Amino acid sequence: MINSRPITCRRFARRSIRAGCALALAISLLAPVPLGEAASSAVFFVRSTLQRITPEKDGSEGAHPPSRKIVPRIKLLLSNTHELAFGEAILAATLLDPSVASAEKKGERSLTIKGLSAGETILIISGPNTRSTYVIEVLRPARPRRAQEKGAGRALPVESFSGFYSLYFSPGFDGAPSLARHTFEFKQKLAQARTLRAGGELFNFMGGGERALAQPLWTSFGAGRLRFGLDSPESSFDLLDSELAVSRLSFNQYTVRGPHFVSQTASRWRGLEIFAGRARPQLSLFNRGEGTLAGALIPLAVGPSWRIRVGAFFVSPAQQRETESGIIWHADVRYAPDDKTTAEAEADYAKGHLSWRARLDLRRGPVTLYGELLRLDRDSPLVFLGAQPGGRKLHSFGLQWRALPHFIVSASYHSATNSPPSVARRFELNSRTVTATASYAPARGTRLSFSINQQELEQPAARDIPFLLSLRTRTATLRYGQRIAAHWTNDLEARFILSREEETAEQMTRGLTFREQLRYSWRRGSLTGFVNYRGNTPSLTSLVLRNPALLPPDTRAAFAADPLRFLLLNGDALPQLLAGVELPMTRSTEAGLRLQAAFSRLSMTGEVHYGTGEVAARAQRNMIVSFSANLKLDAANSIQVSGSRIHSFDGSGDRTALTVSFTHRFGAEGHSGFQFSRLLGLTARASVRGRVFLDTNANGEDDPEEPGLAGMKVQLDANHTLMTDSSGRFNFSALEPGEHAVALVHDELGVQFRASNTTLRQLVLEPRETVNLSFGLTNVGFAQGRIFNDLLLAGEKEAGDAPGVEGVRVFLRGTLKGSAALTEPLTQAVNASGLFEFRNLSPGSYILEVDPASIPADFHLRGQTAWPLNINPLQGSFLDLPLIAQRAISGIVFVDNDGDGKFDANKDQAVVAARVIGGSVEARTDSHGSYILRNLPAGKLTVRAFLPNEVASEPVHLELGPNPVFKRAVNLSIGK
Amino acid sequence: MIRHPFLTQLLFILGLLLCGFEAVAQAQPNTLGVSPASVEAKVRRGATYTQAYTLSNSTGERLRLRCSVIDYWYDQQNKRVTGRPGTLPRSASAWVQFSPSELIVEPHSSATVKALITVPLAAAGGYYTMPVFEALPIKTADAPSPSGESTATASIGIRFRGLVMLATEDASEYNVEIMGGKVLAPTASTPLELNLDVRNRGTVHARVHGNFALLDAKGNLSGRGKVENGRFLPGQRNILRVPWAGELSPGHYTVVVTLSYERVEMDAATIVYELPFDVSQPGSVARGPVEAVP
Repeated sequence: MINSRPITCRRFARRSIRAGCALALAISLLAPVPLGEAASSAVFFVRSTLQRITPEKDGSEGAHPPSRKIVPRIKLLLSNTHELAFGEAILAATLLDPSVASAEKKGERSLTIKGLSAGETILIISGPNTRSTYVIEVLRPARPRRAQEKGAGRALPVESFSGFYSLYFSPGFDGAPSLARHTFEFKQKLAQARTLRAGGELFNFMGGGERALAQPLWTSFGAGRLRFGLDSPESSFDLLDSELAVSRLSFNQYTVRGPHFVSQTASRWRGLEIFAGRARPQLSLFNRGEGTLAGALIPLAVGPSWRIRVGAFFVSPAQQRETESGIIWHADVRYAPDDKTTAEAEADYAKGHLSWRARLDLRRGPVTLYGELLRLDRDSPLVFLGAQPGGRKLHSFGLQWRALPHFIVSASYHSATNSPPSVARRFELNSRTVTATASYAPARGTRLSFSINQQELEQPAARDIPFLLSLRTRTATLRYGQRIAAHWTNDLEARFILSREEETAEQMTRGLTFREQLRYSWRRGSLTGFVNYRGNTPSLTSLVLRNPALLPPDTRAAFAADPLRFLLLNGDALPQLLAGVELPMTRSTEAGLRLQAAFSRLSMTGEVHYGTGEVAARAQRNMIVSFSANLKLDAANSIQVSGSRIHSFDGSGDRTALTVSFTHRFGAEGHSGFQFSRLLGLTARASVRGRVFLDTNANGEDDPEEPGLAGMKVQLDANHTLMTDSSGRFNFSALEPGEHAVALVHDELGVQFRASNTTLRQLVLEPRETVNLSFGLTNVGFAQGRIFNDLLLAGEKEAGDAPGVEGVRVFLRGTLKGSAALTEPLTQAVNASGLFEFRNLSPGSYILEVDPASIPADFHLRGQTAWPLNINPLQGSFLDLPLIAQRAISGIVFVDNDGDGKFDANKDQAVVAARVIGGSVEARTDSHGSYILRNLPAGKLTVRAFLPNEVASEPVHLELGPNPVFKRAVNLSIGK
Repeated sequence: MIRHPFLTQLLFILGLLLCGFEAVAQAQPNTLGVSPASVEAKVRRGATYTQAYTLSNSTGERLRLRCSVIDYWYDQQNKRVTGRPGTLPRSASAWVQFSPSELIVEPHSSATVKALITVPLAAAGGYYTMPVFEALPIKTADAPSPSGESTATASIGIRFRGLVMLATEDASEYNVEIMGGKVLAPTASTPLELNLDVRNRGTVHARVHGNFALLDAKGNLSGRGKVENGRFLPGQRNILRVPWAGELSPGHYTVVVTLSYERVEMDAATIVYELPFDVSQPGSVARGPVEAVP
């Protein structure tokens, strides 16, 4: 926020400071943030306030402090809006490029910014006292990536197989049997993008004792789901257990054991699905028995956005009666023109009765809605072997409206009326539920929601229902979650419940639930403290206590013997009996701590909490300690240990549970640790080998005569490094096929060495492939210089812009001191600019020589013809050599007797011992009056002669070029 | 004598066209070129990069091209200076190896030379070097002239210079600041002139461009314009002069200037600076649109 004008009212300033300090102090005391942080906030506030009230110098020439403040950047998508709050009343809002975004005042202190076109603009908001500047960046929405693009660039799988094996063991406590369970999944990639897969679960109870609600099995050993199948891009085929997902009305998430073929819509089979086998529902407690089923689903017509299928299913329960088996004729249609609209309908006809379902999903702007109607006939064979426990009518509607970017309201209605068959062992209650929710997220990490829910439960309309139930519950829930600081979050939930159970004359009028959770998280874990209170709330436990007939007949005897113990042992299983109804205790209070932490190989959770409550008018107090730890032994193996102990303070005894499991992943990355695949010889490893060499000729090729470099670090995939051996070689073996990166890493790269080929190689290794690669390094330097024409004869060390002298031959010889001395001298003739350059020189000492014979005529050196040179790694040595061009003039100094300015030996008189001065060069005339001036610099020159009596001649002005020159007859006349 | 004025004019026009064609034909590009002339890249420390240069020879001579590098920096007057490799600050010359370092380009053809750039692990910030491509004609064998007379030849070398500007990833610090500023309010005979004293205190070069807005006392926009691009090498300080030719009524104004510069692997940064000023006499003549005159 940039201040534009001073606030002259000092009183207001002082009050602002005091109020700010008080506010910061209050925040520091109330908010769960460190005191130091709060203090720094206060200091910042005071400092910023003081800055704001600092008067500004008048006039534009006044000094302004340097600005390096980064302007906040607001990013929003095209056509999206952003709410921006300002600290005071907004006087004006200016967008420098109004074509990119628009800003509309919304109230006195906020703006709505809307992205109009992709680009960037500046927003300036002016208030009475402050001004703020923002960068508004409008982005185009990212295009959804097509499937092909998703695959592009993805790393190949490192192994052709994958999967895991897990062994789970739970020793028996308190008379319960021990349980060992084996789970495995295995996938093998085959040619043509096909995958063979197998999996299953085996379990074994050991020892006697209770098995809770588990059915008494005739054997202690059993198998869960067993899978064996083949997947291809066009279809999948299963031989053992597989999931049927035909439709929500018929078979949905239903397990069949037998051949099962499913094809893709885009394949030549166009979505055909065929199955036959034994119906084998999940191993849950209340599912009905097995049976036989078969069916086929044929796509009748398929379009780009729609599909029509017809099919037939044959169902025959194992203990069948005539009414329970039969053929169901099926048809369904689906229409989805875009991702915002989906409509689907299906119908099943059997034994003269029609079952049907229709559903519509729509999303239009901020509104999302759905509606579903379902009718399932109670005599349909699907009821006896399908996923449905009985006939039913279902009405379901929902609406969600995003009124504002941070405010969402939603409402839903759900009604289910069940009509179970007479042979049912379990019942689903009729229910009607209405829910309305409003959710507001004022800031990131902060969310406030309020919901109201009314649920009515009653027994289904069947003749032989052994109980009567009519329960109406109204619930109001308030949730508030907030991120307080960088590491702190707080979640609060309060729920008020009104209930009435009319048939049993139970009047539980009010209940209250309160949950508070404060969490501190850091990079490696989190610590959570929580308090839960539930008071007098209706629950399944209380429901069962009042209606024991809800329990399956096999378990009623155990319940009658000790209801409390039964509920304690089997409370977790009750939701399977009455789905969709919550299961709190009648009255309870819990407080505890939960810790989650992860280290390099170990991740663990632990929880300790103390609870007190009341079940069936019997008080309970207990302490529960539980923990779970997962230790990753290596890339493929891990061990998990978890346990819990419940200590009851009311004398009902302690309970302990402990489980240990071991998991091994097939095809995991990593070179160490135990590997089943290695043991079984399933791996097909690859290797990368090569060497690091000194590229003496700097051609990037690994030439045989070039020496290897020892002790160089070569890195594989950023986590494995090797040092080269004495011959510069390295070898990465036993690598998983797939994508790898091999790099030469050396601190002296660019300092002592320079790469002569790329130091990072991306490889895709095939199984059993060996790739050879080499990294070349050079450490050569160079010698460079110029043979130049020293125009001014000033003894310049550097050539500068002086012209070169072409054709001079130079030699470079190694010395014995240099480790890489040249066996043969290098020679070079300089070019027109006089440049010579010897490249790729090994570091060491050299001698540069000039061949005197090659020096052009009228040029000469200053005597020295050889110079020592030191070449350092990667560095250049520069040496410029000046050549001196011969420039000279000569003439006679005479007394001009005839006054014609020209020397006439007959008329004029030569002057002896006169001083002749040209530039810095001086000479004297001889007895004939002659002189010569040598070694003259290039450029303008004035020549004069002085008699012994200091009488001077007329000056002569000359200009000498860069090249050698000899001017004669430059006679100097002295007047008579 | 029969005169044909039309024929004469036609011949004259044809003659002019022929001369024009000849002139155009002689003015066909007979040049050398290197591409790209300027390379600006972000680099990873410890990595090696390859930059290809295409050297095109549109002359009729075989040319020998020598590739080398020199240092690139600026002096106290913000003028470009060059120096031998490794002699100027933030030199990347030692990192560059040409392959091949010398090559022959046939007449009317082109060739490619690769520059292998090895970035040291210890590098941080921006580094600069200037590739130099020196072309010299290759003298043909000493063949006698057809007439048997001795001939004298002269050749001229041509030197091209490029520029390589490297910014190291996750090791470059960006810090451009406006050290000060001055507004010369517009008068009847002079435009508004905004002078910004900008310094790059970061370790890497920054290309700075920006906008300015002239706000009146109520914060309403009275004019706006752009601040043209300016490149600042590390440590470089320069005055950005932005004239604006519009007119303003007498009153109190504030010019809000924003300068933006790109940052490697980060959002662009924008800094803001405000300068209040007063206009005491109206500009009698509007001297242009409400846009900055570069």
